[in-house]
Amino acid sequence: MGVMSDICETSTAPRQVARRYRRDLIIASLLYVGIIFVSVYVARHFAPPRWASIALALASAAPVFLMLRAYGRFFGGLDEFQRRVQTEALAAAVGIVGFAALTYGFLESFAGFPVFEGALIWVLPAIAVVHGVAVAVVRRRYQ
Amino acid sequence: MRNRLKVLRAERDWSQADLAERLDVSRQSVNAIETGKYDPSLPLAFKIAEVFGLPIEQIFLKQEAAQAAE
Repeated sequence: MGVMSDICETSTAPRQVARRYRRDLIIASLLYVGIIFVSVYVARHFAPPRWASIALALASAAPVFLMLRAYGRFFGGLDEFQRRVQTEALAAAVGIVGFAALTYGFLESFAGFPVFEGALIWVLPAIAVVHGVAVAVVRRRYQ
Repeated sequence: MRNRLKVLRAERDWSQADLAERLDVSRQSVNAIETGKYDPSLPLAFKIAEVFGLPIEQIFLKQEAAQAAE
């Protein structure tokens, strides 16, 4: 999700919108690192009960929700052309990552490709990475 | 859709950044509209018309109308 800051860098967003987005992302990222560190430590050293494991998992995802919220606020601060660019890039990213995940799922099922445990964790970061690249590509198309 | 943004801007000696500031949009947005790569929404088109003090139809032209005029 840290790549979302790249989106900010390559966009033409109003300065105050970009600054607020960067600040929100830094806060969410620090929270994410802290909570992940604690969650992994607790899970490995204390063998917590199921309810606590679920709580740790949900707590780990919470900062990512803050990142998405930050992106939502960033998007809301853009003008209509910039929103068009972001929307096209997001559509491309979701399409590419979704298609790649589906294709690999079939390869796992039919062709015995290795099964990656916890692969779902990487879906959103992958969308963020592809989105960052797609924003640059889409913006160039409009130049 | 074609538009006369570049000409109208030049007549007033405004840069893209000047126009962007008047419209409260980014300079890149003005550039994309000016080059015809992005058609503005109706509210933004009205705002552009207001900034130039002209009716919309004197700024934005349908492709066929623009070709006929040339």
